[in-house]
Amino acid sequence: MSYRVVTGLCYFNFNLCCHQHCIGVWRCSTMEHDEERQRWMFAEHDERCENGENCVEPMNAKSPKLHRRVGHVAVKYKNFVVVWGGYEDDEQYDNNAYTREPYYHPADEVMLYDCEYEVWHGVRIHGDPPPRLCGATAGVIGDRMLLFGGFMEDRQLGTSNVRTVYELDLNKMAWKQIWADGVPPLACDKLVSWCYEGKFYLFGGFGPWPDDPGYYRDVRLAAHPGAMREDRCWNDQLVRLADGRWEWPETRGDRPTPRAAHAAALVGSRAYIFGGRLGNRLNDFYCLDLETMVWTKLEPSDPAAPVPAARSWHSLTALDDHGRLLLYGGFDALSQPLADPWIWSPSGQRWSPCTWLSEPPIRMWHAATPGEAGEVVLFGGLASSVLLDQPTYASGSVFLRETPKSLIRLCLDVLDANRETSVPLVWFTPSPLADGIIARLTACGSKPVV
Amino acid sequence: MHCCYYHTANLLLTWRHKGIIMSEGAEKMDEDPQYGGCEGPDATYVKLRSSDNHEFIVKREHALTSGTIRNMLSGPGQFKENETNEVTFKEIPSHVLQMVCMYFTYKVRYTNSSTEIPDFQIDPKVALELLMAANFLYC
Repeated sequence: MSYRVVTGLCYFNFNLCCHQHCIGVWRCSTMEHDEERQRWMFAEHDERCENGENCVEPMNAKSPKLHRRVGHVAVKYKNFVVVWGGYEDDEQYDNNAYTREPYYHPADEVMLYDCEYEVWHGVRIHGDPPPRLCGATAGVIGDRMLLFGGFMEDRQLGTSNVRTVYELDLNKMAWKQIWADGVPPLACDKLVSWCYEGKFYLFGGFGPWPDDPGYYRDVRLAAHPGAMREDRCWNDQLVRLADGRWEWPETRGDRPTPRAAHAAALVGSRAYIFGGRLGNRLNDFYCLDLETMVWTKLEPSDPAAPVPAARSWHSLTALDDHGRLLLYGGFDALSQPLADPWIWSPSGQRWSPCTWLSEPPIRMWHAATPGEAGEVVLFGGLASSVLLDQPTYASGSVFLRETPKSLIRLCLDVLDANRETSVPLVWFTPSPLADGIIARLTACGSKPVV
Repeated sequence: MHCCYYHTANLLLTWRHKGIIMSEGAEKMDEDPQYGGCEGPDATYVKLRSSDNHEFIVKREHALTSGTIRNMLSGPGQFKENETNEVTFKEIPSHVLQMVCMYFTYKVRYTNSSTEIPDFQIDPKVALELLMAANFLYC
């Protein structure tokens, strides 16, 4: 018996509408939902759009704008990864001398990465953007990305920490500031966050001493011995934003010490936290059960088994729903950048070195998110020590895979590698598959000539 | 030029062009109790037929890599395929279906792999047809 090919896919037209200026012709790009394949993608069509504010451009996957960033945020949203913020060094020539100044990436644009087609889009956002930041933290609840904290550096305004929450509506691509009741968290950067049951949790961070310490009696603050009042301190705040209100839940168990530049991952109803810096760099490993609010310090079942070295500025990503985690890179106690991936196995209660890559590259202060199934992607970060005069920035994303890519992606790679012969054939391919291929083939910046 | 790194020991790939050649492997498979057959709901193997009448006999577990084949073989009685364990693809020619079967082996072999996954070689001339087949088969 034969099987009839089902053609004709259902489209659900979304509110997002963007302009793309191309060879003098205004093109509109919309985010459309492919019902059959259950994925979102950008599709171009030739109608003029009423809302002229947003702008979407396909980006070259090798563009420095994507990879030259440190202290940025990256979150997974549907089949995209949203990358925002961070800074890089910019060489300036001023008064007959070259100086290196930090250049913070614009706050009114995000980079969207399509995990399946492996295509980047730069999207301009309207609304009230936050200041340009590094070291902030973000999480996705529904169709919104919440952003908190971070450090800003501005020639006129000086440096300061941000203490407000900003929300990015991922449908309309608009920023908004959120005013919440209750005692707000301490201003800080290099903290972690996770989203559970519609609540945005924050933990730890490094920031200025609070002006109003009376509100933060239950928060432990720690600083270098001999630190002055104007110096900054580490904290161990655990606070969540729920229904427009800041809540400070009570916890029990082995509470972690204050820290910053640690990493967290959420698996089911448990949040895992590894390492970070409190003066010295740490490699302790904690789990917070969000149902019972009990902290547990996790020790490997075999005390003689190898454990990851103490580090900060690393990343921790959940691999599946069973509690397997991937730890990558960071900066160790001897101020050396690291390149070792580790996998935490909950069944064996141990860390084991990850062998998915034969030569994992050095990464610190990068951002990691899950990609497609069985895949973790690292964006940005440094490929050398941050203490160098001219640190080396990441030149591309790092993919860690436990499972082979889908056949669709493998074929797209081959078509991409053989552009001259692929392009004419694409016009015989049904849309939206053709749209995906075209997006991939044009990602190097040059449009195919028809 | 890289060679294929994966070994195909697990793949029993039989070509049977109708009415011309019956390979020894196929006959052995039907009688030798060590290999499963294509009959019945618990069959180890399934038959995938291309548009030009080549039959590919692959392990059921491997074929289930494809979401479409998974639906066809386990759907509630809608398809006759789930009774006979045979699927015919009227739009997929044999040179493409062959690559699809090889992908099934590659995928199963390297899922949850602890080593670096080697490349899967695809002839650029077949890439677009293979992409359309992969899109249809959802794999």
